[in-house]
Amino acid sequence: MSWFEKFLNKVADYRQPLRPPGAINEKDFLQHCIRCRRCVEICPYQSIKVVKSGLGKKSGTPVIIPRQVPCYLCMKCPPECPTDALQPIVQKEQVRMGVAKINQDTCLPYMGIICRACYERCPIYTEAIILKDEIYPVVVEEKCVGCGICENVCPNEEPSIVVIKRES
Amino acid sequence: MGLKKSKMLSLLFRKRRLIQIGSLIFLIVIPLLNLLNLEVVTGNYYSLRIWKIEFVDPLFALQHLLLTLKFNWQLLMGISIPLLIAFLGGKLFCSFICPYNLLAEWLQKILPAKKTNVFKVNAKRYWAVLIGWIILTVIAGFPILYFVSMPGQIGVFLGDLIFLKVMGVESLMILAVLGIDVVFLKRIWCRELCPVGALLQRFHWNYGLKINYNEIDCVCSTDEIDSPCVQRCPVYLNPKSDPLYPACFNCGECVKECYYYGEALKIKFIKDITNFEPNFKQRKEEQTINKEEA
Amino acid sequence: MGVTRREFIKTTAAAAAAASIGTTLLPGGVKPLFAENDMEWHKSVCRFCGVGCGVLIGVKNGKVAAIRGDKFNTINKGHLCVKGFYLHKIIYAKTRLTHPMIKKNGKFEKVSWDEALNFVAKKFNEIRKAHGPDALAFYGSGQAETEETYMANKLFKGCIGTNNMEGNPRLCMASAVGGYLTSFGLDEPAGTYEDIEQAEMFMLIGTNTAEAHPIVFERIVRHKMKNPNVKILIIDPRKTPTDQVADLHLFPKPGWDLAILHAMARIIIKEGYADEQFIKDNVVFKDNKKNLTYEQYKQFLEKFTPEYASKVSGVPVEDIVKAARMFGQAKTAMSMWTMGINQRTRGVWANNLITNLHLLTGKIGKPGCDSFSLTGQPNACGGVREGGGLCHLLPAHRVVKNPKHREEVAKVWGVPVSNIQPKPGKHTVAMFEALNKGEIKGIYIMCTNPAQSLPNASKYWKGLKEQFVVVAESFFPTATTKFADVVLPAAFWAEKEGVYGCTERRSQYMPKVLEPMGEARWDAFILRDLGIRMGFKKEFEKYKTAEDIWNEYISLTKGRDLDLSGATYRRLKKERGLRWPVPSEDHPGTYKRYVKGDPIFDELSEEKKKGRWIYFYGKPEGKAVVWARPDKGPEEPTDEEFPFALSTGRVLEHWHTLTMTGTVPELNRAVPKAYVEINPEDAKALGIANKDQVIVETRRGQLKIEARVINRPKKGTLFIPWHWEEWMANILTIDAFDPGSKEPEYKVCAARIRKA
Repeated sequence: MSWFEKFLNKVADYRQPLRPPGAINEKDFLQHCIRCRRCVEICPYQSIKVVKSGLGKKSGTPVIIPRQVPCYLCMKCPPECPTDALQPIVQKEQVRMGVAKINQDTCLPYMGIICRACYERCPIYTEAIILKDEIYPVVVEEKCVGCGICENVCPNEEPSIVVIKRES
Repeated sequence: MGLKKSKMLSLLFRKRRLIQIGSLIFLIVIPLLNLLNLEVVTGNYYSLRIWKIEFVDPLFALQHLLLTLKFNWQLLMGISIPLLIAFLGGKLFCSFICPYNLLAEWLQKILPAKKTNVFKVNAKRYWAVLIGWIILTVIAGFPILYFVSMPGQIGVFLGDLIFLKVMGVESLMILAVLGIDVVFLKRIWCRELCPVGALLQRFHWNYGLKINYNEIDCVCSTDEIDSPCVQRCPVYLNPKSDPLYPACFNCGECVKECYYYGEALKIKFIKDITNFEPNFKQRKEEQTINKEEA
Repeated sequence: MGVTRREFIKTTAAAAAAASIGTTLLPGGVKPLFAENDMEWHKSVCRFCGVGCGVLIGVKNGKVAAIRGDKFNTINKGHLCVKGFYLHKIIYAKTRLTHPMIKKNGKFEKVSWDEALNFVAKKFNEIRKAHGPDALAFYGSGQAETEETYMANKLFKGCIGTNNMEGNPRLCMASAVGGYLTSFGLDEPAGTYEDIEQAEMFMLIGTNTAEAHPIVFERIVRHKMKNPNVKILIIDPRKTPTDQVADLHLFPKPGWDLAILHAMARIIIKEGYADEQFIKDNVVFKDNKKNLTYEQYKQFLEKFTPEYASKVSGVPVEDIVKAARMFGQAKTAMSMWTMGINQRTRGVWANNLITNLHLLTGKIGKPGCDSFSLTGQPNACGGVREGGGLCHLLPAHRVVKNPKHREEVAKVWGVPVSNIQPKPGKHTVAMFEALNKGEIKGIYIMCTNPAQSLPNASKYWKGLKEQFVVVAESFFPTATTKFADVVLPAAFWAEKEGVYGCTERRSQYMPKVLEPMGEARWDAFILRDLGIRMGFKKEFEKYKTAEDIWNEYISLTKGRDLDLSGATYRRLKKERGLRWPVPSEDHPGTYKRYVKGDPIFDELSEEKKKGRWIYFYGKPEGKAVVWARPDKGPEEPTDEEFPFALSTGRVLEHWHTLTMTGTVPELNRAVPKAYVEINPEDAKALGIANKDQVIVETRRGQLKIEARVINRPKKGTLFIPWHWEEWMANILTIDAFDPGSKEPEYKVCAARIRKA
């Protein structure tokens, strides 16, 4: 893969950035967030990265790239935000960062390979991801918080489960 | 009591460089502490939390207000300490805390520019620039001043570099502004263009900390350029001229210099505003008259 | 690569649409992933657990490029677990060992094969001369092929003349062997996987089938999905992923489940679920000392009221009653267990008590009925249990104590019978203890990693450090190679041919599809050449191919209960394995032992059988034994100082000591590091939050590890997956062992935990 492709992928990844838990909708978020990095620094797992897109609108805003480090829902960042860009949420179940989607064309259980990586590590255990027939993982969209742990652990070369930002 | 206060002030100003360096080191220490998951401090000079005390750059609180049209109590609390300092001491933030100023002052030492002229302060132009920045924010629809707030940019550059090990293109703004400002434009950024300082200066109390010039004690020539205080000023102002504000950021360098010459410059809280009328112009006129008479 | 999120939404939507209109994505079907045309597929067996799944190795341009489930293998029918799916990546792992090395002045130096083998042979002969043959030892593996274990057996027991010849199945299967031998008289289960589809009830005790034996679990789940009235009873102190399908789950205190099994037996008899005719015909009763009558056995059970069992185990009375009724009411029942039962100081007894339930209800020997022990390693059954790779065994279920057995084996081996000692050698824990004490001066370790997998591991590092250690491994470094004096590169799976025997008595052939990497060589030939260099030229030079070794081995099984004489390479290469007894080349293999269809049962004389439909020919009069074993708790119960019961186990994505799965980035991504599972209530009381670093401590050591607060372990218990060398759970485990099977009690010890 050329560096250019890598670069494009990076840009594509930022197209719909996953915001830290408690984030308000994207349009307001860009106005409320003062790009101060406090959520970035308080995160004990370095889950929250910073968008580096030059002088663009999103530059300096916090983002979570689940394939690198997902959000472990410790809920330290919402109270840290000096503005209301991150609404103070205490319960991890209330988070709605995004929603996981399964690509059944590449997901291993749908190919007859026993794998429960996403199901086992889902923090909303046995609720947000369920196993249909005890074999096929299915996302319950109402329960999914979008933390990206599933995307992070997916043992496929390209993740078969991807967290997509919720459109609110 | 009065003595004590002035002593403290003098100590503060004598140790200015130390505080500046401390402030820069602080920006490096914050991400390091957070890397160790010690959550005592977070942030940078956009917004800072030390233990449970919040600090917010008033410029960003203002942007937030303009963009969202909502009051936010947390932000309001956060700007109270910076505003109190600005109220009493003017742009002390620029002279003591701002890492950009430190870098600029160091760069000045490496590349000393020839003193060709001294800048006159134009208050109307000064405030117009600030209003221009604010209008730009409203048009952009997002906190665009993020890119031109140098203290914050340096903070996030260090923070991102140390904490996340990444660098971004926007950090080149620091180099660009630093280079152009110091080398070509004689610190016009700090003197007139910077929105962070301008907003703080907006809150400077008339009776707050100011440079006080007592012409009776002045032993130097009336020459605008040759005076030691003028030579020393990091932003090319003439402390003997009027008006020093809103451009002066109370760094006290001229006062320190004047200590060796006649102690005509003092930095103190103004007791009576009417007393504070530097009559440099008048003196100059008088001198001209005297010359003519002679 | 390079799908943007937007495109991805589109593809997901398309897949969902396809699924909804009925183009179901067939499990095991050919997916784009496998759609490569120029791939050459070879039938083989999975390298991991004891289930024995058939795989197809896809070779392209001389490299193994993909692994795929074998649709025609009746064990897995095309399915695989994620470990097996990535098996091909392990062949090309960066950690492959490619040349022999000798440790000189504390550093490994590359040497030639000649130098390495001459050095080992010289050293071994010196030790043998100076300290006698018992100063040498061999420690093998349930992952080695039957041929490899056979060669080691011959070299050590037959030629060198020591019975210090062990294998790691001692650490995982020995109690099951003990259980089967004492209950039925012969090792290994009577039934097969085919019983799963015919069972009405499953009792899963001490097993996390979903993670340790995923394909067996998958078969159970599919069976239950098709037949919703199938009941699943789980007895396990931890809520495991297996739990998702449970109809009833009993959570006993770790190590206190014997009383539950007795109480279930008592209820079964009291409430009339016992098959009295079966008991009369086919069962005798015994306690630890003497024979009992049925009445005496009932008397013995009187103590085990549900209330008593509840008090001992902490399981509610009504759950025990429900469980017993569930077992009694079902027409057919299958029980499965693994390490939760075997790795205990009373592992043999626990095995007996499970079999008791089957014998009392007559749920054995019929389709869908079996007491079925699941194996942890791919060839623990085939190579070590059948091949005799333990200190008291000889090939084909023979024992060293029996002079006739020694004679038979010595004759085939071509060694004087006096070479084979009649006294069993040192079992695993004793062997490493002796290494510590210096009684054993030289050890040959093959295909296993005892420095990490032994219980109370750090205690045994001393001996490994001090004595002469030869390690034959495919990977370097491992925890054990650190202590080695010589490391020999062994060919890996797919680089050698041989036979694996899985849980259900099935022997399957694996082809060689690649040349070994670097200078690596087949373990059996390393042992052969070592034997020749040690002076056993006559005994070893005859083995030219793997088939030579296999043919000699199956000639030893002729007439034994595990008769494999019909399972020649020619046949095994064609068929998807054969289940012994297979007495001749035209015999199809045996679905069930002890009943009609089992060639040994069929050949029994009618007067012996007396019209009985089942005959346990391993026991006198063909009667199996119901054991009245006293109940006993773990060796190290919890106390005030160490209030938690610590258990260790596996995760789906990793296997054993990570020498293989740890080299696959995809699997490491799924589970990158070890953790200790702790109940939320306990965590709250101790101020431990999820992902905190904690210190787990036992009387033997301490471990800094990440906490995973999850409602899985019962209150008062901890669980650590044991795969990682960096977070070595076996530093904590106890090395007390079952007096019968000599299997250590990995699964229960007392621990405490605090925030780091």
